[in-house]
Amino acid sequence: MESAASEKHEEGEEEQQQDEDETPYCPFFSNSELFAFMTKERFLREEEIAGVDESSFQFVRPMRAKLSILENPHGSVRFWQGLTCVIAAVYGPSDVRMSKELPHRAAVDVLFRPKVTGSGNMSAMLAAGLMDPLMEERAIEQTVVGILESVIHLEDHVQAGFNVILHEIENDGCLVSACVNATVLALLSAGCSLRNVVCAVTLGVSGDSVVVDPCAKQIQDIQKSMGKDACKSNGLLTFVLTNSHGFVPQILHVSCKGRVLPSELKTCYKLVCSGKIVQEVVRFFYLCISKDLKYSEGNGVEKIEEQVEMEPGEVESSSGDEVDEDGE
Amino acid sequence: MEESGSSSIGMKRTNLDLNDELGKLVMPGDEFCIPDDSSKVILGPGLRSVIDKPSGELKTIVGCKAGLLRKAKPNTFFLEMKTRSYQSFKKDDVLGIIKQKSKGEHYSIDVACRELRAQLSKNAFEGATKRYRPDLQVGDCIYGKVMDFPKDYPLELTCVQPSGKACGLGSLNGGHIFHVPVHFVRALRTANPKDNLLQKIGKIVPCETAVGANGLVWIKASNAVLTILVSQLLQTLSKANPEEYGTYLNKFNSTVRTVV
Repeated sequence: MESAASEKHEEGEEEQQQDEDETPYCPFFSNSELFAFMTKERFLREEEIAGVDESSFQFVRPMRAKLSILENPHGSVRFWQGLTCVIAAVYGPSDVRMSKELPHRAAVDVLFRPKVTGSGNMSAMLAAGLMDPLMEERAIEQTVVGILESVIHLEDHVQAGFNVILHEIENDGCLVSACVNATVLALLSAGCSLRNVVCAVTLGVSGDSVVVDPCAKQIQDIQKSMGKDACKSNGLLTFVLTNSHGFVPQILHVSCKGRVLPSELKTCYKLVCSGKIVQEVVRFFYLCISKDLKYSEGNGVEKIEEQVEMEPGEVESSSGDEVDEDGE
Repeated sequence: MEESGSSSIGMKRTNLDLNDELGKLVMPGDEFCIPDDSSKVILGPGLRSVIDKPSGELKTIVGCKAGLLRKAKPNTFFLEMKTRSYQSFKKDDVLGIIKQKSKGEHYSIDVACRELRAQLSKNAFEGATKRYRPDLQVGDCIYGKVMDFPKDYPLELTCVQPSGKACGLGSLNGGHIFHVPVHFVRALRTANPKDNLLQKIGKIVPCETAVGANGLVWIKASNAVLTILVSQLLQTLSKANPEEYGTYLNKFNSTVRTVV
């Protein structure tokens, strides 16, 4: 199962500007082929998935999501990014244990559950020369906690807590960015108040080529050549971005695995700050939520105004009529 | 960038007009400009005002949740979204179940919200005095109103209106209590007769109902079988599309005919 989208940057930054406008280069499968495979093989089993047609994904691998899959959590989602699949569930704002309560804001707690647990997995990973899986799990949790603390309006819910549970179903590369994206989608569907919409994207850098949202095989290729040539950059960059500031996204979080030289780093920053990748992912969030709320662009305002008209009669307040702020 | 219209979906939008966006999806971070006419605008859940720090003037209105922008009659704007968790708000009518009966002056009540327990004074009933007051038991269901306390105070309920009359509040005897998603409560409590589900159900099966803003619903029909049928219908409807309500009601109608 190969990549979706990738971009080659062969001759410096000036070339790169032109490359962006062309159809993305993909060495293995085209996006449509990957999408066809996904729909055929395993995704047909889901009855109603908020999927967007493959043509809307030019940079990242095609995403699919199903909202409200679980009964109890306030918001839950099953989220695919290519073949990487994550389940996210959000409880919040809810009560937390006394020991975790904070006097000035809500606490955020994230639990990541990997596909395989136990020491068997650990020894296999260590034998393959990879990092301690337990450590990686904690690292993912801490990354998500850090992002959520800056995104949720925590000061509104004093002494409360937000619990997020992430469950890895399938890992085909870019697990961290899939976790962040799934969490944000779950928060949106739970109706939590956020400052901004954020999304995560991983870039694989090998030599002077940059791959957006690499799959497991591409990551393996990058890892094989890691540390071989000191003059070449081989690494993975994970960005978490907001969709704010007009068309220039703000960067919330960057993490790097491996070595990335300044010239390639600059290329990556330029690619990410162009805002096209963010727009693509957040657009997908938008479509998912609008599908969940049964909202389509076509159905006009007239119909909605009809529903909204309420007479101030016996019903004094319902959950929708709460009014907290006055503005002029 | 020259992109605009539907292609700019996904990026943060600024300078939106509140009246133009009615019924459309608002994402967190979308900014609205302040309406020009000086008429007062009231912001409901999902929208908040941003105040410019040094001058103290109102800068923008920002959406902070993902939902559809709706307008209630006197210039009130809010976002409508699906939600399963209830956040208590003053003057809300809520249903609760008594969980603890202490020797003191209060019952502690489960109202299915983030605060685990709400308090209800034993004297907060119509005509109650220190000597004569209703004796409620653990497990009893009450229909109360959230007291108008400042923010972050412990949650307290009352079963008497400010006028001194109960007006429907108080303990509920018999019947069946169950939970529906909070966003579904709007469909049950709307005053518009065209949309009101409870009125339509009432035409098929006459029943007593109490709908709390916290998503708890109490139903009492003439016998237990009908009560359970109505509760099952409401739980099914809470998961269905609004367009399918009619077919479900028709099905329910024919089922009830066979039972009675």
